[in-house]
Amino acid sequence: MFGRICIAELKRLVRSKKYMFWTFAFPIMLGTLFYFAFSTIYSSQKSETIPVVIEVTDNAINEYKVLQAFSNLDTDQMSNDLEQYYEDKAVAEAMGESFDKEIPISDETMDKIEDVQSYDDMKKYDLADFPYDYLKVDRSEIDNISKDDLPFIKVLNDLTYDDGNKMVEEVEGITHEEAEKMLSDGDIAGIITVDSMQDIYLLVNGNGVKHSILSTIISEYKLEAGKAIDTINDDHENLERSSEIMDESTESIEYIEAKSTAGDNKDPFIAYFYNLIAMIAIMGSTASLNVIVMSQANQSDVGIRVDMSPSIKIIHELAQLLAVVILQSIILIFTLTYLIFILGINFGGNITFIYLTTLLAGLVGDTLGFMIAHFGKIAIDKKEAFLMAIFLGGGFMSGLMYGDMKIIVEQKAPWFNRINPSAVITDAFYALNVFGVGPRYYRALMYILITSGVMLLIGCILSRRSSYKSL
Amino acid sequence: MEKGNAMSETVVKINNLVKRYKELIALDNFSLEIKEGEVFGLLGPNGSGKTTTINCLLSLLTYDKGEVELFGEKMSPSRRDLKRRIGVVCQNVAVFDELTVYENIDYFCGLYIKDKKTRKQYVEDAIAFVDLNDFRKFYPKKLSGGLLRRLNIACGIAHKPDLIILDEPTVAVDPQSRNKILEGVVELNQKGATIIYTSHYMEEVEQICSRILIMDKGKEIASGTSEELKSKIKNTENVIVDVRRLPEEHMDGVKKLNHVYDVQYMGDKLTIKCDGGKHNITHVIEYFSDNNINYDRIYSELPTLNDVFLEITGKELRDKE
Repeated sequence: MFGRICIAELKRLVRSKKYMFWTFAFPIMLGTLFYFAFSTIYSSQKSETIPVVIEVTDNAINEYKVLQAFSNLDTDQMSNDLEQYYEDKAVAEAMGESFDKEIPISDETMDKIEDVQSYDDMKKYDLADFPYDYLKVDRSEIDNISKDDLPFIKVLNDLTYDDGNKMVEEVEGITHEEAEKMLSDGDIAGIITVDSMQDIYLLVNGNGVKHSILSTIISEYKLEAGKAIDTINDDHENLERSSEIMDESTESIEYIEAKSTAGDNKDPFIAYFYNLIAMIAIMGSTASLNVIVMSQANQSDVGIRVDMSPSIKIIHELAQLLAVVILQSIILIFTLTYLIFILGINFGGNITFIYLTTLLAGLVGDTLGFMIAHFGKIAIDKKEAFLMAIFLGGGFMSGLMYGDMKIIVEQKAPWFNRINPSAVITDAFYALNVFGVGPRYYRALMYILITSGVMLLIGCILSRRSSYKSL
Repeated sequence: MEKGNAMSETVVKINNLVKRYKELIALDNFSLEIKEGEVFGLLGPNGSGKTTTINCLLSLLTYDKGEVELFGEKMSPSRRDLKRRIGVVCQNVAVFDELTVYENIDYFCGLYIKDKKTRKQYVEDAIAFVDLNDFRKFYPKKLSGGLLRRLNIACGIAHKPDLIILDEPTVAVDPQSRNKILEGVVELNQKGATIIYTSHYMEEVEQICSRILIMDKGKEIASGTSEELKSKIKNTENVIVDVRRLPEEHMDGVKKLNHVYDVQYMGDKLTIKCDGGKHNITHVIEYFSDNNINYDRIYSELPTLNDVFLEITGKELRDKE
């Protein structure tokens, strides 16, 4: 019975003009449109060095100085000296001798150092009251820290295209007013203001590839810097390693350069094609929704027939779901093949994993529709509207429309990115695209499988209801 | 058809069924019993509880109180053995638009019959039964209303069930298809199936049902054969006169005739209700002649189930269409 129902559902879906248009023809048309629209724009601008003016505030330099100072503070020596001082003082007092040795660190300074419990506390620290005698490095290394030492500036200076061209070039030695004029005249692509490790602002005049690249670089840097600060705050002892942790996060941003030199995905428009694949995957939810309601007595007349038959409902529904998964997978593979081999879009080096990710992304959409189909006696058009809200709302929250949204959600409510189907899918593509096949990518795949599994399980549990209160 | 055991003479037994939709009581201690081989008519106006009764019977709906037994055994959603013996023709056409006539019947028959060869034969039998052989490759959207209803019936009976429930199967069907459907129901019964036929078309129920239960507001109003039901009311004959502009005093005059207990005059039609007696129509003709009243037509009708319902509840069984 399982196979027969599955085949019948496949026939139904293939013969449904509405389904075939929206899940098959429409994405192909949209992909073709993207291709022609973006290839024209991008081909005229690629490998072009982006001129920018970078303004770094004293606050940012001071923050990095403090970070370096605390990272190089010899706390062991400091403790030993203080211990020795108080021991000597106690002995002198016991002997009735006078004690005129100077305390290595004043109580006031010590209190201030002990008050530093987090990255924010450290940021506010005034270096005028810092025990420089206990630095592991020469004090001049701290005092001479300049704009070019900041991790963000280093990242920016190291970025190159495939052909070795620098990605970003700083226009130096001009005032803010001059920079604003250059921006309005189109002589530079943007003014980047660095006010702290995380507070980096981009001022642009208009939209375009250059602006997208700058925005992406800054967004990614802020995300990684934020993660580094979170790590520092997690454990008080990490304060001593703050510079090291920040450097590690900087290294992880090398992907921008790495990808460029590896010929991987530097194209800012490739995200649109990933989103297109994610869209087809999520649209599969409407197919599974429409198929499954056909076995719900409180949803359709056909459902009454199915429900009062002796067939086992859950097996019936799983056969229907399998039909959707099979057809949706064929459509996804066809669309991806069309994009890669007909339009020649470069999805990166891991084609096999791109296909694997795409197929698993399809599962998220299919199981989402399966779960929603079991949500009580709600009319199918309302369920479809609910799916659309999940698709659009989830898409927005995962950064499909506003790139920084992903960072905001990751910082404020990371759990939401784990349960948002759109975020789960785009994160897998992002991980593959950015970090390649590795732990991060496998973790993203795991989230896809867990999300799909949970939605399938909820659907199965709700499907066990055998009688209804009303039809 | 499977033969029942010693207890299976009663195919359906419902005891004191209560079904509430929040404040509304859809079934109010409703009971019924249907014997094997009967064509049982469940008659009532829209909203009287017929479909709710069917859905409770099939365990599609939960109910608040009462018991349902099918073939002598308690019915529950998990009783696949009992479900296997039931066929349902839903009120609304329930088929897949994307499957052909043959594929639809095969799909639903396949929910009951696993053996491919047997199923193929059953599907062919069902197609022949509803006379859709010329349309087997048609999609439902290409079928007329009557043919669609026949497909709906074929999908419900293809697996040759012992109990067939037809829930208003002739709604919005042309007279020709309606007759075809009614003949089919009788044929199914003759082949051994017990039938439950719900409708608000009293003529159909009178025509094919061996026993009838009239319900309203979730309760039984009356039950029995058509004749038994009619014998329960005062009305024995209706004399109808097509007459224009009948003066009020003649209404009173007619009402004073022997065995006349009620007179209604609506739309140039005078309906005279009689409670027994013979030659009532002759007395009316004599009255009209004696009073020089011209009329177009005069005829006599036996009471219908609508009269039964009207007399018991004070309202029409069927909405005016």
